[in-house]
Amino acid sequence: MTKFSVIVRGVCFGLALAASASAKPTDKGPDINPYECLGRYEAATGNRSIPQVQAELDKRLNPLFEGDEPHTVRAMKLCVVAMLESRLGNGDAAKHYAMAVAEDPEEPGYELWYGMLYSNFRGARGVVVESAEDHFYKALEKIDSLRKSGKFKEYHAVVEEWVHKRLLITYQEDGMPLLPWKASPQHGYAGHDLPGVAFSGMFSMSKDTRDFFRNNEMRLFTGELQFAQSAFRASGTLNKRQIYDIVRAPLRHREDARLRIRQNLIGAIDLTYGYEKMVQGQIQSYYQPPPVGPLVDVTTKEVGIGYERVFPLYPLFDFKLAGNVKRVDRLGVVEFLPELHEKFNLYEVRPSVSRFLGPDKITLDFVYSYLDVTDVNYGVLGERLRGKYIRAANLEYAMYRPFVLPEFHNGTLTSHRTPTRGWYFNIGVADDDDAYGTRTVRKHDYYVGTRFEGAGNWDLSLQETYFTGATTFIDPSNPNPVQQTELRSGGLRTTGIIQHRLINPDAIPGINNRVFAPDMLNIVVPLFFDKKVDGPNTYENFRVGAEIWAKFFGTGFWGPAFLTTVGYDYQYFLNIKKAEHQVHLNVRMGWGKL
Amino acid sequence: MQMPSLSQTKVASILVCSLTLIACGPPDESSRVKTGPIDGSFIVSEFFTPSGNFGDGEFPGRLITEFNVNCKQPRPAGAKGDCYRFTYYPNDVLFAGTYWVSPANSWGAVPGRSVIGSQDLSAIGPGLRGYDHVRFSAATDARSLFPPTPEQPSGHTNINMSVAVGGIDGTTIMPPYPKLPYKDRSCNPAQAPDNLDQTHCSDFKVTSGLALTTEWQTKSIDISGTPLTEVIGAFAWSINYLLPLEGAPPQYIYIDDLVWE
Repeated sequence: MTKFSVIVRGVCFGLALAASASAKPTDKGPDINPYECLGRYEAATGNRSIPQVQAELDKRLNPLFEGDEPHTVRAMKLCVVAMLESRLGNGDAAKHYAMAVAEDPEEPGYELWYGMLYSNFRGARGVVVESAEDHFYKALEKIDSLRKSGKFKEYHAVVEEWVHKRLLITYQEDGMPLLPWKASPQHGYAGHDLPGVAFSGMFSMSKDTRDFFRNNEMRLFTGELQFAQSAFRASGTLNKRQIYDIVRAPLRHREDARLRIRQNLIGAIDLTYGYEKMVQGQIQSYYQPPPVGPLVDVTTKEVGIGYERVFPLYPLFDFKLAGNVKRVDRLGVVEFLPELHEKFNLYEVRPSVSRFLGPDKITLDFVYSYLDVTDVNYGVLGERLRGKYIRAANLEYAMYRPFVLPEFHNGTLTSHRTPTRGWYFNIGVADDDDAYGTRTVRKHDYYVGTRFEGAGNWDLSLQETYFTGATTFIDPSNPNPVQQTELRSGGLRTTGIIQHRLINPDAIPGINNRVFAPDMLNIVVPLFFDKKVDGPNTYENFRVGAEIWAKFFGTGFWGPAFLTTVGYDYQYFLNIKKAEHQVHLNVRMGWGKL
Repeated sequence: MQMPSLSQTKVASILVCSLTLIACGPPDESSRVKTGPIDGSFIVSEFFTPSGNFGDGEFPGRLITEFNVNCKQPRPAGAKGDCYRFTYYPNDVLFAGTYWVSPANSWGAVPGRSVIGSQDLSAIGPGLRGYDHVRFSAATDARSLFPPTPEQPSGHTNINMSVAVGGIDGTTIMPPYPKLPYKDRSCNPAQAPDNLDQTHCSDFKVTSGLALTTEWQTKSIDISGTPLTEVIGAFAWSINYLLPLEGAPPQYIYIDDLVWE
């Protein structure tokens, strides 16, 4: 018997029982398959607008119970109400799930749905891990009890499988479990309280004009050109070949290792190590950019400690706090001094808040990074300061309501109300400022974008970014100093991403019994076009590529998640007539921010 | 491992920025430097940067500058400011040198630094002040000296170093580099107290030299009697390399205790 048929039979059986229930309120009532809750929810939301879903909810709330319904029926009704409230962004969802659990405390299915509130709906930039854990492990504990008491039913095996899948997703960023309690497949409640330890390893390699942090390469090359051509360097004497060679796609590779300690009360504590190398990618002297002068290697080593946890602060919002402190040893970045090691601390905090606005969700993210680059201990007093400051804010509005979309049916254009995976709108700003003595190199991004994650297997993204670069400085010889600006540049970047899901994670609620369980396979086509607005147009370019993103779980060996991306990009710099062929590969077992 | 300069203020700033979500940026540029004229004696390394490499020094890798590391020890008694080691790998230009300039990497793109010495120059013009001399110590080490040859069994050839104060002139830069508007200059307002312009200013450059040995030598360059208006190049050294390039040893130049008095 397939799992699907188990669910369908359970739903039908439960519906029949509920309809004929006439027990006294003190009666426990008949056993009801918890998938009936899902079935009723889908019946109430399928092809409905949000006001219609709200009407369905109102109908179920008034009255919530009829007569002397037994506890299991009440639990079912409460579960449906909670599920509808989740869909509508109603903050009472958690309360009604808790009531459903209280009405039928032996049933693990309601704990599954309750946990899914925190893993599917709530959360700022990710699962509310700790709250989801509360309910998933309770579900597993109840399943164990049912087995022992002989009350275990066929559909409980499906509940168990779904719980295991949700826990896989909950821990997917953590990596390979090293202790058994939180390792897949989990059993009982032990994984809730005992700390988990997981190892994550990430490997990235590229031959690309763009670095691993996706900094804007047109701004980088334009800034380097302007700096090299300035009166403080080559004074406008770069030849065509030097201007051409500023565009470069060096070989880079980066390895990250992380040990994550996760405990329900505390959250996740990370110990991290990172190593990155760029081969022959840094201009040693801007007096003589290549091919006259050499390119040098850049090597970065990082050790750090980080922290991450989501705090559910409803009815206000969910608050995610993530941050880390790293000790960095960087070699090769300082002009003229390729053998100089810079050793400094990096501080980063990334808070996010999110809450539902009706069925939609609003999320506000901040990033603040401070690289406390050690001030040089020699030279002109006013020129010793070093530091890097990154500040960013992003506001995202996600529309989860179903849309009436056009569709071709039998050769006719019709419209159809379609649930989607969300239509996202975001706006943001990012500042990246480097202090070098009396100079500050200022890079700003202002962007607006939208991403439509379709009802089918297609996702589309479009973003427009206005990026600027400038250097401000004080001339110390000027008795009346004013902040001066030089080396200005600016441009527009248009980004389009087309994504096709070959394996849709939403379509795999459970786990198959293979050693490796594929969860996602996407083909992605990214398109970029950079157009100058201010400054030289030398490095205007377009870029088009093809990528494959794949995710799978090692369900046969404690459940680590693997995320792999591989891609090729063609980039053409229009005004210097230079083409770059670029490749990149990422293999991750667990991951952090992507 | 060198520890970062992490003051309590910085820690407090990071905490405030993190906790209040107020993204603190870099401090304003004007708070980072004391602007305006340099008044009185000064240590050159605190205001001028040895970034003006020339000759073979224009090419990456041929002239390496090290600050406060690998200095010749012991330093001269009472030495002030940074100490330097320059390592010159002789190449086809056959000479190299370095200017201490302000601002860094300037060859006259912006005006030089105004300086007001403690020497009374009122005999030249009312209220004028100037400097007496520029003091420095220099040396090399035995590795720089040419190895013994049949013609010169001792093998030792002293390095003749030229030194200069002033002498940068952006207006006379030769192609392919474009001319720049500023230069080292001395102006005498007594000649035209109400109209201080180019016609009453003169280029400023004083040169000297010494033969380097493996021992410190302290020398002063006389700049007395000169009112200084704009100083771009506070000090420079250069050496010619006149021996065969094949097998040429690196030329180590140590400079220390560089002071205007």
